[in-house]
Amino acid sequence: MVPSVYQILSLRYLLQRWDRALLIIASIALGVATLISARILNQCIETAAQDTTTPGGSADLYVANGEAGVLRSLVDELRAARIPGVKAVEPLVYDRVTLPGLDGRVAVLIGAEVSTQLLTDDNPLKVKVTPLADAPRVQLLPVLAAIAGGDFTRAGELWDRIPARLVMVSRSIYDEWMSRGGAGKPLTVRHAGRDVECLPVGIVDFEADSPLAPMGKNFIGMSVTQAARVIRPLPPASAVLGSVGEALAEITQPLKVNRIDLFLESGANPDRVQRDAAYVVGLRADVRTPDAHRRSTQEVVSGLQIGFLVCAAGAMIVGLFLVYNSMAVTVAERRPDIGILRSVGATRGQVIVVFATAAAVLGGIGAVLGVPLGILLAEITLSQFQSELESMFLNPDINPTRVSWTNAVLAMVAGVTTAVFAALVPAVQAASDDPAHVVRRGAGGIKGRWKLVHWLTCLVLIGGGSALILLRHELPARLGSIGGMMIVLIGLLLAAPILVTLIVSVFQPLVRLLAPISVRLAFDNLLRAPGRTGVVIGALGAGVALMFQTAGVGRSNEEPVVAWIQQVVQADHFVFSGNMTAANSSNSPMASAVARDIRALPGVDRVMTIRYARPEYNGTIVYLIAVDAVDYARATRDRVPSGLPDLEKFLDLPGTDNALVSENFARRHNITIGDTVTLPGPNGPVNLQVIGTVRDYSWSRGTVFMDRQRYAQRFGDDLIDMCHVFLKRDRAGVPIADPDLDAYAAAKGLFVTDRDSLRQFLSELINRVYLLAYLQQIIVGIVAALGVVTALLISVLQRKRELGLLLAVGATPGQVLRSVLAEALLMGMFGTALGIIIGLPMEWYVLKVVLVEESGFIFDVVIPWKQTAIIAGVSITTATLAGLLPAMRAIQTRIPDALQYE
Amino acid sequence: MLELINATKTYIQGRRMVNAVRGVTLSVRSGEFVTIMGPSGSGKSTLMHLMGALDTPTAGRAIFQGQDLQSLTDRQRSLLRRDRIGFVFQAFNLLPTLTAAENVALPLLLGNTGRRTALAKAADCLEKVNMAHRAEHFPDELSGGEMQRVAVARALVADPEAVLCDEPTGNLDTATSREILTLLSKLPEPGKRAVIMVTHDPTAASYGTRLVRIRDGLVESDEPVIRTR
Repeated sequence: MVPSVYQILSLRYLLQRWDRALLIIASIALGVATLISARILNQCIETAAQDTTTPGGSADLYVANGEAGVLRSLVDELRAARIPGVKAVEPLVYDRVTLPGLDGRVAVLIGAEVSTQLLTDDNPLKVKVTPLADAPRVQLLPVLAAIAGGDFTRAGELWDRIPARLVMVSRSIYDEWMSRGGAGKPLTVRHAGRDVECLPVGIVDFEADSPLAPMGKNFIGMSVTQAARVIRPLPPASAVLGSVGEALAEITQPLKVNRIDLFLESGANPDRVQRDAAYVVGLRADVRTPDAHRRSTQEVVSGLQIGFLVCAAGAMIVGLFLVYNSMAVTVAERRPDIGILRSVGATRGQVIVVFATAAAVLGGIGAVLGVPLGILLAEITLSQFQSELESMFLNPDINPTRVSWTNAVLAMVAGVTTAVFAALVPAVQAASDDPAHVVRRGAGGIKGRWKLVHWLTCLVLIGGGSALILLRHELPARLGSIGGMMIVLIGLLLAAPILVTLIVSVFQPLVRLLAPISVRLAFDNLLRAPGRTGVVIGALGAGVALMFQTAGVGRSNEEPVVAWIQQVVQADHFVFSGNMTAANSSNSPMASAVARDIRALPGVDRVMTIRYARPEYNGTIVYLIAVDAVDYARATRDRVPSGLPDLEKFLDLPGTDNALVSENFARRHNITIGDTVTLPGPNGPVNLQVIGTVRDYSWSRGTVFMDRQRYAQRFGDDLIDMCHVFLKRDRAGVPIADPDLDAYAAAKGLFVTDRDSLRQFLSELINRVYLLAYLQQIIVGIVAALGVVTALLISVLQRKRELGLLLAVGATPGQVLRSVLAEALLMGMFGTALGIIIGLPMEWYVLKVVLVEESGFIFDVVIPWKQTAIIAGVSITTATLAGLLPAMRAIQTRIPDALQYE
Repeated sequence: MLELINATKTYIQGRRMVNAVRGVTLSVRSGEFVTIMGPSGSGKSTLMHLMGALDTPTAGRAIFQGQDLQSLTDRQRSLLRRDRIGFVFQAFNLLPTLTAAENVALPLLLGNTGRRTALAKAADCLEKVNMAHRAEHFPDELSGGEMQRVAVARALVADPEAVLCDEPTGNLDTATSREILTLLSKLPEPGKRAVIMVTHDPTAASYGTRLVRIRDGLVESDEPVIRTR
């Protein structure tokens, strides 16, 4: 009975006012879409990042040294120690490989012991292995016998001794391999330019909740020892010397694994096991819980995640204000209905429920539509960075379309809650009116106490947000700096009606004197309904402020970053494996022999190699760039004879544990010259002494530079990611092209690019990062534009009688059209002005507070004049165009109807 | 000057079709003060809207100074209302954000008249209705009678050939009504201007020179008013 009353009262009305309902739905849908896209992007990036640093993470404790890896011998020591509570000690090796026989497809090589991890039915990795019928069973027989006997360690040892590299592959790889006539042929796996032939003996399927499921399509499983040797092969000399050579190599280049997993018995005390294991490994590695292990990765991705969430929250908040706006007018329009309801005995609560029901229905519809829109938005965003993301993470599969039930429910809750919350204020206001007052239709405008509540709320939000900013050092990270900024913004948005009243009051005398009547009436209307117009102006202002701030931050760092790129990209050619993006990561390395080969080419003057690593430091992940320091300093000095004082510092790196740190590293981690930076190495901590700082913008958490030869010794990693090739020059100083370089690269399957292309690529990459930020803010702008449409439709409704009168006394349709458009234009102008006024301090705050605290980068504040003109033009034009529909509706008004309208 | 020839107006109200005016033929000459009376829903306001170019007939013709209103574009009808017809409404319909003088000047400001000239003419008109002293006041600072005087001044500012009034005393007390009606009765001028007033009040109707009674969208009677006052 009761619901049917609300159905009659709310839903029928909504059907009559379908256009307004549609705008509310669109506002909510866009808000939900940004929220969903932010959630998807955040989940994708976090999953990909965690899968990169901790693939197949299902253990209770990890023994690791970050990216540097740990010695394989620790496994034996940990097993020998028989730590109480430890069920299994499992080494794991992983890295990216490519499959040249499958068009260079990227796969993830996982090296695990043939043991409980893979072969039992209830294995912790939750994988199912199906042996291939044509697998070389004779070689496998001893392994199978050991497994049958329950001796998995022995099975692993026997597996390692099989001369052929037997692999288990995911079904996707197997099917592609077979479709290319793979049966009976080896499957070639390429790592660092070296090809290794393998023989598939089984197909691996993953359960949905397997820790390896994310890389399910690209999995190649191998024995741990063989995988470790694929990634770090023994020197060729050891093969020549036979087993003696191998034994020697084991000493000089001991086997490394990426991590050792400790599985505990049920009921074991993890703290105690952690302590005991740490005692065994000493300084050679860290023993961590999964939470602690993920923390540094989380610290890095959380900055990006917060960026997405702030944009999504911005869109939702703007949507909330616009729904409030629409509902406020609906309430005003239905005042007679409210009077009738109250006079026939409806309680205040029932009146509130009438409006809340309508809002909930619209919010629900908006949320349902927002989910697919959000997926689309996430896919568009990810498609912009497809190659970067594929290169950045271990697993190239980043699937944006996975919408979990949690996300779907969150979207519904967010949509409905936003709409209901937005409707509550006007509904409560309406319900609080005296029934007699409402029946007389005399009630109108905001009562004094609501005005007071409005003022107080604005003051509390702005004051509270400012307090959070001031106390940010005492609060959890980002709560004060970013949370405080958001709260101040919400407060300013809420205060927009007050600000609009003030601004309009200041300009009104001038407008009265100078403006034509249509503009004058539009201007007056802003003052008559500051609540309606102010909210939209505020929403528009919020969009403009965010865009201005982004443009300002971009413009402020453009010049120094471009100058830095010019400095570091000096070589004539750049040689790398994979693609240009991968060249700046450690995901597609090359053997260091490549540099030696290139140096031997006749036209090459100098080659500088680089190896990137991402060690943990101070609770986050920093960049370690190992360069051929002397080559870098000398070659760059030849090209840039003056300036660049940083260059000489590189000459002090070779043969020492000296390091240079980027200025942002020094600032962020409070490091000065002479301090020691300790990074985790495979044999334990590596202490580097800081001898200077250099300007570098590679990484927001800071960068450490050391000589590559020393790095190879200390970190047991002789691979390289990129070669900077400096060609010999003619007498005029022009580099002489060397065709041998291209031929060499082509023969090795490597890529070559020139200086201009690399600089252009880096500039475009930076631009795309800003495009991503703009994309989300454009959504805020669209929601605000929808708000202009709503506000003006409402305005036309409220001005119906006035517009009817104008037509009656002889205003032409064009004049009425111009009057409504003038109101839209004014809203656009005020919103834009407000946005710029708020955006400028926001830019300063982001550059001087947020960016400094997050990354340590310091940039001067530059006002983005050109971008501001574009943003202002787009904002004002959009707002004016948004007024077209309401304006058209206004001139179609039947004059007698308009004159009778109350 | 103003003519309806077999004019019919049908419109849709909610889900039903309303025949507000059904084949009315009526002619108004300059100098006349025509009052139109009839019960609620009889079609008297619609009749006035047709004559004032606020609306167009569904069938038949509406003619103003020999010009068929239906043959005019929307813009031309707007200009006609602005320059040649004045309106006075029951609810005054003054714009709340404009002063009395600006409200009066509105039709001129909508045209090409400069602000200063328009306000000067408005001041003259306000003088005529004894409202000059309230020129700079906003509508919410005026009484009902004062607002209606301002509305009359606005109707006169363009020196129109017809002034159309829709229940101009409907919201006023007796004394104020009398003042407004007296003011309106002075407006008709032979060869220059006619006044047409819709009312349901016989006392108000008695101020006219001719009384047209309407019932169910048809002219019931059309006769001169014999002044008894």
